[in-house]
Amino acid sequence: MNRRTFLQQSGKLGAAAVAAAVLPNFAAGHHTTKPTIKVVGTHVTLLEPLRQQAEQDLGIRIEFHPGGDAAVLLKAATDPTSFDLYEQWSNSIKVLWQAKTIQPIDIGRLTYWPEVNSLSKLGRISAHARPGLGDVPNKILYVQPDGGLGPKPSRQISFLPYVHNVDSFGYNSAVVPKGIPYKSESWAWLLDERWHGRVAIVNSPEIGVFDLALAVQAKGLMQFKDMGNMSRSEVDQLFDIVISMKRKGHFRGVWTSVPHSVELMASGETVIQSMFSPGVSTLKGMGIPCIYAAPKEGYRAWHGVMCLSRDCTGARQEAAYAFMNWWLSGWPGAFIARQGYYISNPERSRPFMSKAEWDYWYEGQPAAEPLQGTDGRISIQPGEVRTGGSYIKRFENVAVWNTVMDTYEYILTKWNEFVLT
Amino acid sequence: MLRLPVRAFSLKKRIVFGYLCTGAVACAIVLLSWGTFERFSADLRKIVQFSRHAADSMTFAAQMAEMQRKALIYIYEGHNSAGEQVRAVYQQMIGSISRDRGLAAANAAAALAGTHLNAYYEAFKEVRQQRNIRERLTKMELRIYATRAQQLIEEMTREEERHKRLECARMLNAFLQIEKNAYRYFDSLDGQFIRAASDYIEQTRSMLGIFSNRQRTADLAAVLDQYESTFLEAVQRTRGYLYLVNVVMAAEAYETMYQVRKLAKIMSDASEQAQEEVTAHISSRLWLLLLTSGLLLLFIILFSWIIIKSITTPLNRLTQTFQRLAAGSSEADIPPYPLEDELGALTRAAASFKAKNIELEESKKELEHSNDELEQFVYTVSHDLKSPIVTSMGFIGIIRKLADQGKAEQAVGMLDKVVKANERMSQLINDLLELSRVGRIDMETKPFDLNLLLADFARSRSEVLAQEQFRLLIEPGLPTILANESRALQIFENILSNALKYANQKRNGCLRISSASDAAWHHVLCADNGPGIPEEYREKIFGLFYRLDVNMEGTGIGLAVARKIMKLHGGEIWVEAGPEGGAVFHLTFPKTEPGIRQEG
Repeated sequence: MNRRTFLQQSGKLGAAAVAAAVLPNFAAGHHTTKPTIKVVGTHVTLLEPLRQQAEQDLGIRIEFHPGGDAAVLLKAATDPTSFDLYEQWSNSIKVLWQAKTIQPIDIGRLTYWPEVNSLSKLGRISAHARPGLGDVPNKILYVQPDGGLGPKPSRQISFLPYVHNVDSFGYNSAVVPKGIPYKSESWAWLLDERWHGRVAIVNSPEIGVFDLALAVQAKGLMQFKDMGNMSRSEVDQLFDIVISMKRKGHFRGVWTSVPHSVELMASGETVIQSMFSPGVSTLKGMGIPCIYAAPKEGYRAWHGVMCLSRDCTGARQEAAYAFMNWWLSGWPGAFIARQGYYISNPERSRPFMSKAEWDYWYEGQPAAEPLQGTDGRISIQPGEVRTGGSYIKRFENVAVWNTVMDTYEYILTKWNEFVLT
Repeated sequence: MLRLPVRAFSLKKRIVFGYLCTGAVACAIVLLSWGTFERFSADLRKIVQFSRHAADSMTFAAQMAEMQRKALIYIYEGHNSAGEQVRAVYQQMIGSISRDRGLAAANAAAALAGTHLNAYYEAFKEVRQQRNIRERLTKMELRIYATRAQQLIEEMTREEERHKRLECARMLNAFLQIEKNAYRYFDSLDGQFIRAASDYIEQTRSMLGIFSNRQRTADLAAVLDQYESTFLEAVQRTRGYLYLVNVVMAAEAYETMYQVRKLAKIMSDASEQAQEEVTAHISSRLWLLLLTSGLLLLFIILFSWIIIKSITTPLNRLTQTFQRLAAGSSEADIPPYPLEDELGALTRAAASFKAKNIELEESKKELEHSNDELEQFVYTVSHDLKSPIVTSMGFIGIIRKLADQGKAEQAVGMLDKVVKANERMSQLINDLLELSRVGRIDMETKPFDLNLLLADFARSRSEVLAQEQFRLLIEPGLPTILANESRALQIFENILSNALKYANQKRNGCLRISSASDAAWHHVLCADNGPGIPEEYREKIFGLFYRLDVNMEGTGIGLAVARKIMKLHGGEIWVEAGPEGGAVFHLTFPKTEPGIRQEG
């Protein structure tokens, strides 16, 4: 064992020891029966290795109920008894808070709250970061005295900040000329005539609408007063443009899942489209040179939220808090980093990652060695560099956050027209 | 080049082979034609099938459009019958989409279309469920809670003191604003009305504290909570409903239609490709058939020519040969033909014909020779026989004159001359008879030892030889020959007789008989020590009645008889001069059976 691995191993052991010390073990404590919590969310974070590890670390029973975005949101927004914890994106917070199916989370019961970084608390990763539009996490984080949500810090929050990332579009560099991150790569490429008929957008209005808006604005076809909260007329203008283009056959269509997005690009039906990080990794694994663009206009960012059900009380609530604290205890953050996602308190996860992993995933440096993904298979080859650079740099370039805007229902009807055109 | 291998086969085989080849090519043409039509038939079926699938895809697309139309009727009007029709159309479509289309790409597109169709219908089912819930919430529960709240407020208005009645009216107004905004939201789907409704709920709730009837305010607060909860759930149901309709169902409908269009295009392309293939295939097969037929025709012409040439050439040659043979030629060339077939039989017949001609020619020559010989014989015989008759007639005339003159004694004395002439004629006739017997009578052959024969011969003649002082020397080691023993002895008797007459004129004559043999012949030499025979007479002496010295006794038939005997034995006899003078008679006997001919 050399010094490096010694430090790494001892760091992990130390971190694990600290985590073990602060995380309650229900099986070893005064609880006679193991409480069971139901976690509703998406496949992005409801991963079996995480569930097993959490059960082992916490001594509780955990049920994962993954589903599609809309389905789980509807479930959570209408039936608080169907879940104890809800894991999804920050754009669902307004809906849930308005539906009053979730309860405020007490900061005092969050062990690692002080470690949560400024991105979640202040909405900016650094002082140089460009202010993102839409529902920046901090604007919907704190429970305000009037019962609403706002950026003013309080002792209660609407969600636990944990997993987050930035999204953009992916392109097949075998067809689309390779661009320069932050310089030539642009959302306008989605509307480039050269890729006529081979462009797809994610079929999620609260996300896809921003991809279209960023593209239209980057192309110079229109300007938004506030892209994060579009007016009806702006929505009309935006959809007039994209529907017109779709009518002319510019768009192949929309994709409804990550496998669908992979299938579209793998089959050659598309060469450029909205993408999620796992889709890009899968395509690369298939030998398709898919590049995840770093657009000069900035990314579309998303923030994972973990919400506590209004009906979660007693031992289940205690177990739910334990599970939330476990998420920020280090190991889960390291695990999820291997899927390309960031955690809100990265330093806690650092001891659970090799230096090469940390350097690649968080520092944006070339991989020093082959790196494994969450499935244990090599996903990153030595020398590869994560597009967009480091964690800091990526989140300094956020154009807009996924948002459920006031015009959400109207956008849905326009989206229907766009999809079916 | 073709003629050589063809000629290696018999005529029958060539003809059979030719027919077989022609039949085989004809069969190939038939098979090719059959294959072409079979393929054409299959391709046509494929085209029809593809066209039917393309039409199915069109029908599917039309059904999809119809299903969407019905779904929209349900979504906007809420007609359950429309919902049921969606289900019926879906069942029709799902039954038709799963058919095998015979193309992997088409099946893949159909499978994807089926997947999206299923997702569409699942979303629609969810829409129906959400719509029902939403309808229950908005049209029943909200109204119930609103009615209850209004009743409570009205009761409070009646119960409260006058100065609080205004607050009651304000609260009622606020509550009506809740309802108004709530229903405006459900009508317009504008999110701002949710906020407005929520604000009025809070406003209404905040007004509850000023009223004195705690029970009423508690009841109203509870109803307000229920109303708010129901409203918010209805909002979420509405949003979920909208999401399902505008996002999920729309995308699935689009993808289904996309895959169906793709499927229709695949089938249409496949149909067009099949049509092009059919055209190309028929064209290529027609060319192939034409080419094959042409080749078959060429083959038949070439093969017929080869067969004809292979038959007519030898036949023409044989015809010429037969013509020459029929003309009696024995020198006609027999064309070589090694095979055992009909032409071979003809060739062999020609060869036999030629052999017969040769034989005939030889027979003719022999006959001519015989005729010559016969003429010579007749001439010689008539001449030589005439001579004693003339002599006799002369003496008879003399005798008659002498008798007329009365000179009987002289006449009688002349009778001896007549007798002698008649005796000579008798001798001549006997010798001729003997000559004619040679070959006709008693010509049985057998092997016999020449040493023994000649030893007996010498003993039987010892007295005459002693009297004539003539030596007959027979050298030992003479061969055993296959011949007629008595005729062979006759030869030696004639040779010895001649030797006694011509080689022993001064006595001390000698005849030495010796022999030599080679592979085929026994060579017997009879050498005398006489004056020899001049060369010009060496052949003549074998003629009939020829005598070197007419004064010598004899008829001149002996050597002719000897030659005839030797000839009948397949041998030869000739005479040469001896190395020291004298004559040497050479006799050759074949070692094998000569096949003595019996003369009739």
